[in-house]
Amino acid sequence: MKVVRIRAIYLKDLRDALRDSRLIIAVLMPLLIGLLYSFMFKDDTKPTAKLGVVASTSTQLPAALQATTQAAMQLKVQSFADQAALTRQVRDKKVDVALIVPGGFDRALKGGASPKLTVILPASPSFGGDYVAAMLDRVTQSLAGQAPAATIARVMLPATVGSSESAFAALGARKVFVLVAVILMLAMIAVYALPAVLTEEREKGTMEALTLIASGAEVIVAKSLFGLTYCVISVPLMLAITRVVPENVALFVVAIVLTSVTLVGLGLLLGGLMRTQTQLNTWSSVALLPLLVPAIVAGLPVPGWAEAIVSVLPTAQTMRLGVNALAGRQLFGAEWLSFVIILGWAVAAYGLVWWRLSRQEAA
Amino acid sequence: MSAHGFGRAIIEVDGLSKHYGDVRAVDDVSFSVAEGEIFGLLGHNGAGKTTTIRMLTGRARPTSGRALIAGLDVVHERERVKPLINLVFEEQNLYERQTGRENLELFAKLYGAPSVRVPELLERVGLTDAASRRVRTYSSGMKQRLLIARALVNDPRVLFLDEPTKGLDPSSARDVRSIIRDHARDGATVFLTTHYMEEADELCDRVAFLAAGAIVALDAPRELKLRFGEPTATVLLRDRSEHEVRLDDGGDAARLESWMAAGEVLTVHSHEGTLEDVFVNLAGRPL
Repeated sequence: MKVVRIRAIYLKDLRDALRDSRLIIAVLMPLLIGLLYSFMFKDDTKPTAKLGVVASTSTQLPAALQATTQAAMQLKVQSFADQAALTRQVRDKKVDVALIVPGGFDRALKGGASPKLTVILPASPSFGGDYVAAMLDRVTQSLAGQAPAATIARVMLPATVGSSESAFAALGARKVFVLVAVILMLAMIAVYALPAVLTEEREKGTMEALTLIASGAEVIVAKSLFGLTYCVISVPLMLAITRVVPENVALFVVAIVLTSVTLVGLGLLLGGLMRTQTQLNTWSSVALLPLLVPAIVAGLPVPGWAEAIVSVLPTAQTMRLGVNALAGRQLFGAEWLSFVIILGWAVAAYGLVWWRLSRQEAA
Repeated sequence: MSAHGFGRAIIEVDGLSKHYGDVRAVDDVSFSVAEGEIFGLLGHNGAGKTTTIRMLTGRARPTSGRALIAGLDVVHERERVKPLINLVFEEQNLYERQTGRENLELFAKLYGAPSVRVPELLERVGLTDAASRRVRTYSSGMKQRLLIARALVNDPRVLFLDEPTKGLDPSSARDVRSIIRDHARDGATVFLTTHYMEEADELCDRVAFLAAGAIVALDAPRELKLRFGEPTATVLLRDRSEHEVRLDDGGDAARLESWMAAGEVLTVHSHEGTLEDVFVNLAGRPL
C-alpha cells in the first residue's frame, strides 16, 4: 500500500466534494436542522427537579430546600406514604431525589440531637438530584442553627437505563436536538455522501481507471479518510454554529470519532453494494432509518423489546455517550458497553468491506 | 527479431479463456505481440475483444491459460505489470468536475510520474489552452484526447486502447490516430480494438479477427486481404461498357487478354480486397 497514492485519491475526493452540490447539501441539511433547533429551543429555562419525601411528622425541610435552591432550579416536592413506593419512583427516574425524614426530625434537629436523614439517589443522579443532596448539610444546619446538624445517610440505587426525561431535564431540549442533528449529519455522510462518491466512481468507470494502478485497498483507505474528514469537519462546525459545548470534551470526541469510523465503514459497505446513483437514492433513505431512529428514541419510555433492539444499534449508543458528554456526568450508565457495541459494528463493517474486496480481487 | 519483423514478444498469450458460466467469452486464444508493434483486435460486439483486454490488463482473471507482459504473468505478477501498461477505456471515464490538468496530475501521482510530464502531455494532445477548464465543458474529441494523455502519463511500454475513436468526428479520429502512431514511433507497443476496418488497416502492423471468443485469422492487413479478399478488376472498354473480371479465373483472364489484343481496353482498375471483405468472409456478416 502506497501512502502517496492514498493521498492523491483522498485529495481528489476532497476537491471533488467541494464541487459536488449533492455532497454539500448532504452536510448542509443537518447543519440547518441543528441551527433551527438551536433557535427553536432556549437554554435559559431553569432546570427542574422533583423531590420525594416520606415523613411521618410535619417537617420544614422540603420548604427550606426549595427556598435554598430556588436561584438555581425549580424544585417540586411530592409526599409519599411509604419508602418502598418512593424508592421505585427514584429507580424509574420519576423522582430525582428522595428524603426519608424520621418522626420528630425538626424537634430533634433544634434540640441538637443529630437525627438521621436518609437520602436516596439513582445510580446516575440528575443535576437537580445532585444539587439537592449537596445542599442538605447547609439547609439542616440553617434549620438547627448549629453544625453538625443531622446525620445524613446517602443511598445510591443500582444502575438502571437512563431516560430521555433525565437527558432533557439535564441538557434542555436544544442540546438534545442538536445532538440528534449531529448524529443525523454523521448518518447522512455514511449512507449518502460516501456511497455517492463510490457509486459515481463505479458508474462512470473511473474506479477502473484508479485500480489500473492503485490497489482496491488503497482506494478504500482513501475513501475512508475522505468520509472521516467530512465527519471531523462537520461536527465541530455544527457545535460552533449552535454554540453547544460538551462538558466532557474527551468523551464527546472519542464517541464521535468512534461513531464516525463505524458509520464510514457502513457507508463503504453500502457504497460497495450500490451499482447506480438511482439505486443509492432509493436505498440510502431506507438505510438512514436504523441510524437515525435509535438516536431519537434512545432512552424514551419504549417497550422493553423495542429498547433491546434499539440498544444494539450504534447510533443509540452514540446518543447515550453524547448525552453524558454534554451533561458532564453519567445520565446513561455502562459507558464501556456503549463503546463495545459501537466498536463491534466497526469491526463487522470493515470486516465485510475487506471480505468483499478480497472476493472482487480474486474474480 | 520476431518472425513478423519486429522486436521480441512483449505480449505472450497462451490458451487464454474466460468463461462466465456456460458462456465462453474468450475461448483458448493464443497469440503474441512484438515490442514496437501496433496490434489490432477486431470483431463484432460480444466477440470477446474487451474481455481479452480486461484479462491482459489484470482486471479479469482468466478461467484458464495465461498471459505474459514483458515476461510477467498478468495474474500472479499483476503489481509488477501495472506500471508497464496503461489503457484508454472505451467509455470516457474522466473526473468531470475536475479540470483537464487535475485529471492528469492525479494519475501522474498515482503512477509516480514526474509533474513535468503533465504539461508535456497536455501540449502533445493539444489541450494546453483548455487545461484549466473542467472536463465537463470539453467536447467528446477533447475528452478522448485527454483520455489518451492520461494513458500516456506513465509512458507505458504497452498501451491498450479499447475502441479509441468510437463516436468521434473524422477530424478528432484523425488526431487520435496521429497520437497513437506517434507513441508507437517512440518504440511502445500498441494493442487496440476497433470496429473501424479502415482504421485497423491504416494503423495496425498486424490484426487478429475474433469471432465467438476465438481467433479466426491473424496476420498483417495486406496478407489477410490477399488471402481472403476477392481478386477482381473493373475493365472499361472503348464502347463505354464496364466489366468485372476475376484475376484468378482462367476464362476472365482470356477475355481480358482478347480485349487488350483488340485494343478495346480504356482502363483497368484492380480491386484489392478490404479488411471488411476479409471479415465478412470469415465471420459471415459485416462488423
